[in-house]
Amino acid sequence: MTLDAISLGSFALGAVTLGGPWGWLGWAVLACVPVLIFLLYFLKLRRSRLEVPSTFLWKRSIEDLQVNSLWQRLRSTLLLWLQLAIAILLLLSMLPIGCQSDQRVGQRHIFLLDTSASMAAREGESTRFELAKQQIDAQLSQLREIDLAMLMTSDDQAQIRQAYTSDSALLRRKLQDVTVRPRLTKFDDALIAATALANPSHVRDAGDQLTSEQVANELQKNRATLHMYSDGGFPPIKDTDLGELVVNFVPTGGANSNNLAITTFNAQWNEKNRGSIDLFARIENFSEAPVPIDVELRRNGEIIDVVRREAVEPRAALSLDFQDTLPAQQDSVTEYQLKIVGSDDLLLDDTAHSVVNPGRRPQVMLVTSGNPGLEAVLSTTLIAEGLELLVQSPEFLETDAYQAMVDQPLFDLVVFDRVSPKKLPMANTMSWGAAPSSDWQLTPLTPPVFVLFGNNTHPLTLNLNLDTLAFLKASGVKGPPATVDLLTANDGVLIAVGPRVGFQDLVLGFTLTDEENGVRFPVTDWPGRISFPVFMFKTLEYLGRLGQKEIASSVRPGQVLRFRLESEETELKVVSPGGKEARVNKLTDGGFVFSGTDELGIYRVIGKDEKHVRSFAVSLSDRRESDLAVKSQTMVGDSAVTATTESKIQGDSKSWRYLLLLALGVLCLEWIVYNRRILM
Amino acid sequence: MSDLEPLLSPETLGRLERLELVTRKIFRGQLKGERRSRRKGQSVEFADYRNYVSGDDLRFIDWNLYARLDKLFLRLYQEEEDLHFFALLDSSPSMMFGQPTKFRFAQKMAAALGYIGLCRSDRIKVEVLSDQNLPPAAALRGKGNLWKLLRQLELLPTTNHTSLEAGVKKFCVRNPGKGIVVLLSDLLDKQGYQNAIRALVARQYDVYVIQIFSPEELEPELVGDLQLIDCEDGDRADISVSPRLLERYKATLQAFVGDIRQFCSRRGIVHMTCSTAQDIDQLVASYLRSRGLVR
Repeated sequence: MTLDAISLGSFALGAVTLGGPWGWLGWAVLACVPVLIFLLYFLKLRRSRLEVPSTFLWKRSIEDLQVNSLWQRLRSTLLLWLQLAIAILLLLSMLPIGCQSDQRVGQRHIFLLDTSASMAAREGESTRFELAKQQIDAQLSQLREIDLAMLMTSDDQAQIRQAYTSDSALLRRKLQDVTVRPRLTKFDDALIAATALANPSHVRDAGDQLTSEQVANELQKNRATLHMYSDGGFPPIKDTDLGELVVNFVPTGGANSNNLAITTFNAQWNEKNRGSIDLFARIENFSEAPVPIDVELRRNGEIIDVVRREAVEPRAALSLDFQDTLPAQQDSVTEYQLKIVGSDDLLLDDTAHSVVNPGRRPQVMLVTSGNPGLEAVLSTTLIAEGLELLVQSPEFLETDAYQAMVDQPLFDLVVFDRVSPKKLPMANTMSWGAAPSSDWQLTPLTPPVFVLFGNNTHPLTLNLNLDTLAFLKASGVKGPPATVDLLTANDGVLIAVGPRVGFQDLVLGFTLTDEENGVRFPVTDWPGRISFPVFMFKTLEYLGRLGQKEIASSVRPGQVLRFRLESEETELKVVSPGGKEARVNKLTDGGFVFSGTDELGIYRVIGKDEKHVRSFAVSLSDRRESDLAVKSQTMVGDSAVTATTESKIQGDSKSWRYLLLLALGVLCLEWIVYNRRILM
Repeated sequence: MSDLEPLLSPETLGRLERLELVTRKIFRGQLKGERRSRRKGQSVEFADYRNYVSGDDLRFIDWNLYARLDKLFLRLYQEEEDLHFFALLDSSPSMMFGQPTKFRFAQKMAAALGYIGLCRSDRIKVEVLSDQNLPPAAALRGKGNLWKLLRQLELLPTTNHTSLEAGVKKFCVRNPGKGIVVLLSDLLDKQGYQNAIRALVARQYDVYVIQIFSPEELEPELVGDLQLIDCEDGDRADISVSPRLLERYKATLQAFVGDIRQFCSRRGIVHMTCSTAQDIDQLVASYLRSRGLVR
């Protein structure tokens, strides 16, 4: 059935649709039943024989009647007609026959069921969701066969569970399959879809224009009713024109609710102490009475803090902050769980999660023909434990392995010591005393070279005192546009950082040592100053991402999660809180996308060799879902929709079918009695 | 003799003695009877005068008138003669229906009419319709032969299947004379009654047709789905009795009787219908008298 046809409330003229569970063959067999009754009636008609003086007058009497004797017999056989009528009515009662006609007498109903998290709230022994399903089920059971109904559900996504149909049994089956999901509420899409389906002019093809009068008639005959079963926990629906759609908002849920909810739970690095994690939480009391609060904070399943408060005032919030110190080189995932101890009407918002994923060991390559100063600073404990260093000679730049680095982002930072590659790798670079590419120019400066000022705002040189550095010889650096000067000398720029597509190039116009006549001598006194290892550490942090740990922000259920892993794995396994496993593949941009965030809790990403590489948290954390107060009014477009206590449709009592079945039973009894009488 | 009700009761006999058969035609009787003829004759009953003409029998001149008027007048007397009366009974199986049967009713009717004739010294003959060559029945005359008449009636043979036309023609061959013929039949012959009646008319009989029905035929009390079987030829007719069908049957019966009556009246034949439920005394005393068969 097409959408157009639905909008017209009619089927194609002359097209009689037979549906139901049996198909054409079954209906054909059923259609034979009245014919069978007809034939059996005459078979069972055993006439009494009577001898008369003459059939002369009788024959003359029935002479004209015999012309249409069959009709005469039928006319006089009331019992046969009754039997046929019962059988045909029984068949018709079972046939879902629809005829297309310009006459539209049925009603249209759209049942919209809220499946968001707030509908999971407890209501007595059941939940709001189950109560709403029961209400809809009762309405569907009253649906007349000439009516059309549609079943839609909506949380943050609208779904048409069953398009327009007059088969109430099918609708009820579809309704039973619907389950509540821990999602937010967003009715915009559902309302737009319902409005489009309810207003014929909205779904007409452009080439099938109606006149204004036809549209008016159409609308008058096809006024659809949207029965919206929800607790009203959704934002006002804007930019929606209801048109001819009549909205019945049926609020589901009681007036009083008892709910404590974690509406915020975040983790972030402590600005002063890099190894410390600050955790912030906001707990709100949506009850109408003061409620005591008992909260547990767990790290990797172990309780690390507990907070208790005697009472939180109704409609008030409690802010909590925690601090936790992580081991500096910890190479594992840290999972935090905040849980409200106790029970209330909605359990989904009583737990929130946050995750700290391990920092990645940056990949650094040093291309040099020998530089003891650089090698010494890169081999310090703090740096060496935080990165993976690979030292190569300048000949490496001619190999295929380097070509692979040009094509793929295999390293975070490549340090070129007095060498220039033909083509820069897909990584940040640090070049000592040589231009990394043709975009850069190094111009020898005339001694004496002394520093004028350094850039105190850039992260690489922030809080570093480089003004007193001395240089025997150096070159002035000039980079591509948008290059940032970091250290400026009297005759040019000594250190600059410039952008490249997706990467940055740090260029230093000097080297640490130089060689002349086979004798190596220092060029600058910088390696002997404290600022040098600090600068190198900052460079490795800034360009090589040394020591960076990732705090994964909690995502909402249903939200698509994108993340990157620097490893070469192309396939990962994601294990949901409930234990369901899903495979995700690396996309062409190097990232991964996971969309199955339907459960609340911690999702674990498992890499090669079942290594737990990272986690991410899914929490509800939404004030609107946690506020269980049932709304009595909501805004749809410019009109206010007031809640109705119940939504009744014009029902169709099916009791006549039982009467028909009873009549059929009487029919069978009559047959049995008659045949017993004849046989005896 | 059968165990059935006697054909004539003593009371009936007493009432019938006062009646006589009437014919609308002038028949020349073979013997002198007690019936006054339309012809002038030699009975004792004075009829008229006429002028004397030469050659008249002088014994019938009224001499008293001659003395007063001096003219000769001849006294005329009513002629008295006997009458040939034939009771022709249909003995087909269809006449065997009803309680009493139509045939029994015909027997009673024939007995009553025959006794009237016997009382008037008419020549009475009782026969049944048969397509076989039956010997002619004996003619009876005089009241003393009543027992013979009754015995003849009781012993009348029945036939399995009789064509009305064939039976009448055989009767005509057997009885060449003239007289009154009373045909007692239901006339339910699928081959038609017309030729039979035409045959009687052709022989110049004074024909009376008494059509006999049983009450079941006049007011059938049938219900349900029935298969009617014709007792004569086994013909079958399936009917589903309904008020409309019964109405139709009665209309057909009326039309059938009306056609016969019209057919007969065109040929100077008196047609009468009787029900076996009717009383013979009443029937003969009032009904047949009003129709002119007896007086």
